[in-house]
Amino acid sequence: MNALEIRNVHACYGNRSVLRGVSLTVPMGEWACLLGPNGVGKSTLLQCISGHVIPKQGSIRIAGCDSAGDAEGAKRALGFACAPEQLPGLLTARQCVEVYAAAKGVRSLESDVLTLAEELRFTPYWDHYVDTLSLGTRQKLCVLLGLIGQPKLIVLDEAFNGLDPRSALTLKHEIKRRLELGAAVFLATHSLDIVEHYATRAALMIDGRIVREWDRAEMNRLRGSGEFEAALAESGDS
Amino acid sequence: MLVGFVAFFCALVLVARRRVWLRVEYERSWLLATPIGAASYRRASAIRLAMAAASVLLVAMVVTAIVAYFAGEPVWPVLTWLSGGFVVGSLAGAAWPLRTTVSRFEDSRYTLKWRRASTHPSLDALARWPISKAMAWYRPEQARTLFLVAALSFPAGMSAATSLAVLVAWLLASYMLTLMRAVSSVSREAALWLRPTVLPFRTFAWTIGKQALLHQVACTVVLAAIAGVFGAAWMDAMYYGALWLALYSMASAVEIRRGYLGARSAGRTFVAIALALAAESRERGAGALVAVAVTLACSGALRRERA
Repeated sequence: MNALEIRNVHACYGNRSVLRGVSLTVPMGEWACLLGPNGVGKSTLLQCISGHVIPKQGSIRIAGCDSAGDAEGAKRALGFACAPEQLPGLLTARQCVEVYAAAKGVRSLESDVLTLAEELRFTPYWDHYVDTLSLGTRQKLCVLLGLIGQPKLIVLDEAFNGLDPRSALTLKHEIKRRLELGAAVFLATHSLDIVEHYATRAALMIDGRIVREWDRAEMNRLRGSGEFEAALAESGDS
Repeated sequence: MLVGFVAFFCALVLVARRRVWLRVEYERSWLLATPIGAASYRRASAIRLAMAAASVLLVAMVVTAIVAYFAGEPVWPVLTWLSGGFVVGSLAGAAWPLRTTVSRFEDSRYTLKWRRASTHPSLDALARWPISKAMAWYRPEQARTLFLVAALSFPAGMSAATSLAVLVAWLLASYMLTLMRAVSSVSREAALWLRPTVLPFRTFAWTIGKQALLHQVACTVVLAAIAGVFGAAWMDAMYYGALWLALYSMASAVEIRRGYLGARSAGRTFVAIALALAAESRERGAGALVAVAVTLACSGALRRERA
């Protein structure tokens, strides 16, 4: 079963068309990266997956559940790390986790989320209000929220921005552990380091369309050769 | 005359606050680095302030005209008082001395601290969020202006007990209005944040609304008691308290529902309140019935709309 199936998705803001027939598949156990210049629709695609934006046309299936027909099933399988500016400033980090877990229907908080919080050195900030946290610390909180409830599909938008190298490495190890357990990760990023060293597939988006995809075999071939950057630039130019 | 006084006060607060926002917006924008002259900035601000005030005045005049018409009151004198008070209030707000510094403190500084040793899934913090928001907005530098206006509203020769009661009534009434706005704001922010979760609308709405409703009930009871103690008929005090709670529930239901859907709500809330007030002016009790009906419709219609 695929963790994510996007079929011919169109989305627009008012009269401005942002996504123009995006189709993409992420199988279970894979780390897929979405690449592309600023303003091409990467975040909009992620917001379609999370339910923030309703596509004008097309379908999105998360772990086999259609996000329009079986929204609850799709959301149960989804772990979405929101943008740091969406976090509620008047709640503490602990309250954010408690509310988000309850809203996801989780009965008790998984120990691996609390362990990850310790590894990310987040524990001293549990009782700090969000509006007093730095960008990096808020980013860690967003990631922790996205991992609550053992999601089958983890969607991250520039999740490594603002993280210190140690925390970024910890997060990469946690994601790899989740992949081994069968989850899939869909990450929008500009970091070629992550794409080359960790991703098992990638897609390049230009002007609201997927113009190039690399599957696992191609990624393995390009990994470490330094050719990926050139291939990316070539695809972007064409 | 009461309409004129209320319009004066509202316009004063609206224009004075809008000036602060414009100043903050300018100080944070890239325009600060450009060689725009002070006169150009003042002209631009004056146009924006005038447009904002005119749009609010227009809406207020339409709503007032509808209510006055259905109440059988003469429309033009009321509108004259309203527009006169509003214009004078706007001019006073434009001349009001502006604070040059923005608060250095985060909003959370003004909220009650809730600490827990363990972490377990719970929506308690979501229920307390509107209260925290209202307290953050009701911070001392905001409340002191209101305190001043309340203190100036005492007629000469009023006893200390009566003055204290009037002051408490002012503060409670303003807290209740602030809380109503906080519920609206929180419902939008919370809906956006919790969109990827499976939280159903009814749980969302009840959680956001319950603590705020409890505070509204408590404040209404105190206000009704104050009114009763100082000579109002107890039945009238209870009736108007119940009417306020019905209107508050309706406005909150509309705001929470629209917030959950990620849609704008101010227009619908205004229309709903105007409808209820118009019905109330025709027949005592009809406004509360309209409010209850709209509240129930808001929770029932959501499933259809989402589908």
